[in-house]
This record gives sequence, C-alpha cells and structure tokens, in this order.
Amino acid sequence: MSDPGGPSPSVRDAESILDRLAATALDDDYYVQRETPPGPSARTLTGVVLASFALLFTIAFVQTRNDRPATEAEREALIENIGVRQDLVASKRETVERLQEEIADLQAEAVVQGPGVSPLRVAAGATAVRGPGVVIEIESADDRERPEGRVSDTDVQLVVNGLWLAGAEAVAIDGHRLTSTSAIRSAGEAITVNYRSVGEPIVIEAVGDTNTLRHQWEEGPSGRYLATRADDDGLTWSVRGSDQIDLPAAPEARLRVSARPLRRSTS
Amino acid sequence: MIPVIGLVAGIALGLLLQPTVPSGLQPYVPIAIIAALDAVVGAARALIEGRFDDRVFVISFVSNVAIAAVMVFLGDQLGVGSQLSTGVIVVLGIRIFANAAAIRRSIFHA
Repeated sequence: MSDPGGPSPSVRDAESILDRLAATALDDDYYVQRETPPGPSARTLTGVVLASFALLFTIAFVQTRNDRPATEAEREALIENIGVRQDLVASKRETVERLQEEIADLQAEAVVQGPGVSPLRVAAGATAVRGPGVVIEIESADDRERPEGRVSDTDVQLVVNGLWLAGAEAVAIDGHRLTSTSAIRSAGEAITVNYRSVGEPIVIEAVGDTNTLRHQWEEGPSGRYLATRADDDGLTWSVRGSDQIDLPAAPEARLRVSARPLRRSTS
Repeated sequence: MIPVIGLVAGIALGLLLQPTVPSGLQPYVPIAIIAALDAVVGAARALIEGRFDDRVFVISFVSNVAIAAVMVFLGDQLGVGSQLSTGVIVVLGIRIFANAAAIRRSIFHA
C-alpha cells in the first residue's frame, strides 16, 4: 500500500484523512504472514460469524418489510379520517344553510303583515325592490392626477342624499343597497359602500317615479352640485330613466335595538 | 463450505423465526449492518487476494460491530447520536467502496 513515488509519509498524513482511509481499507492484519494454517475451530468461528451476519441482515430485511404495511396502513387511515372529517364539515355546512333558510322563513312569518309594513320593509332595505327609477353614472375626470378630478365619497353621498330628497324609495350603488345605516366612505383612493369597494364608473340606481325623481334631483342642490363639479373639475356623469330597476336587499338586517312590547297595566 | 453453510443457516434462521429487534436495540441495527458489511467485504477482498485469515476476519467482524455499537451508544448518551452515526457510516462506507474497488480490479483487471 506504500506509494514509492509519492511524498514522504509525514506529508501524506497531513494530506487527507479520507485518502489514507481508502488506502488502508483492508485491515493490516490480513497482510501479516502466518506460519500455522487455521484450525477447524477457526473455520467454524468464521461460519458462526457469517451466520450471525446473515441473521442480522435477514432480521433487518424482514422487519423493514413487516413495518412497511404498518406505515402504509397508518397513512391510509389518516387519509380516510380526513375524508370522513370533510364529509362531516360538508354535512354541517348543509345543516347551517338549512337552518339559515329556516331562520329566514321564520323571520318572514314573524313580520306582522299590515298596511304600513311593506313600505317600512322597503325603506329599511329588508326586501329586494323592482320598479321604475333613474340611473346615475359618475366617472372621474380623465386627468386623475388632480385630486379634485376624482369622484370623492362626498360627491357620492351628496348624490344619494339628493335622490332621497327627490323622493327615491330605494337606492343602491353598484348593487349595494343603501339603508339608513349604510356608510359611503373613501378608503385610500377607492370609495367603499357598505364596506365594499366600488369601481368606476359609479352606478347609482334609485327606484321611484322616473320623471319626478329625475326632475327633482336635477333641479335640486344635489344635481346642481354635480353639474358644477362637472364644469369645474371635469367629472363626467349621466342620468337616465329606466322602466325597470332591480335592487337587491341590504346585506345585513341586523337587530340593533329591541324592546319588550309595552303591556298595558291591567289594574 | 462452512462459510456457505453459515450464511444459509443465518438466512434460514432469520426467515423461519422472524425475530423482532427490541426497540432498545433498534438504533444499533443500521450501524451494526454497515460495520458487518465492511468486515465481510474486507474478507472477500482478502479471499480474492489470497490472504484470507479466519482469525482476522472473526476478530475484525466482532470488533467492528462492537465498536460501532459503542459509538452509537456513546453518541446517544451525549446527544450526538445521529452525527456520530453519520461519521461511522462515512468512514465505513469509504472502506467498503475501496475494498469493493479492489475486488473489482482483481476480478476484471480494470
């Protein structure tokens, strides 16, 4: 194993421990010459050692083979478990939907039907509304760098207030129905209605008598304000009447205030 | 002849009894196998080179397995079990490859 042409042994030592390892891979004892040939006991020992080696190998092999189905079974059980849970979630979701429908039905039943209830429900945004009305579209000026050229939340608020003033029964912005508690705000550069952002052009639909609504709104302060904005800052807007406008119900009809019905004292 | 009988007997014993390794000894099995493989490949090389010696083989086998087991045990006790196992596997792996290369050279002369 010595390398006569190589560097001296001390340099080889420093060279690489891995090289040395590979060079002396065979145990040095094999290179020792023995005079006496091995006896039968040594042969038997070799056999025993080889037997134990084979045993070790076989045990490891068999155990690995036996363990594999266990891990696979575990995996399959987990997958099955996931499937079962997913079905459970789906059925729970169905139950939730059914119960919500039930709640809606019960709420509809609970409403006292009377002469004044239907307009109240429309005013509260509790029901979808269909009817004639006007559609107003507003868009920012082409030059959007100027802050005045953009449609602001105040513009939209004023238009909507003008529509209410002109006698609109129901108003929606981009399909978001407005109620007395709706918010029209600006968040950054976007305008949000009912906390959902709306894109331009902003479409404001109002249900009411088309001619009256349109006339009153255009003549009222709101229409005049928008006309001024268009002249001064370049906003574009249009108003048109429509025979049929579909407005959805307001997204939430949450109970905010409640009180027990007053009982008259019987005494 | 005896070595072949030993090999066959070991495999047959393992297949017939199918013993399970106690969980306490589980970590020692892979290292013991690598160490035993190293001794066996070394013995095969010595056999081909005509310098096989039963005593050297038995002693190298037993000492290899024992040292590997002791190193794993020590590593487990000191919290560096996996690192030490990796070191043992690297060293023995290099030896196995070197011996296998020597066997290949003497068989194919290449």
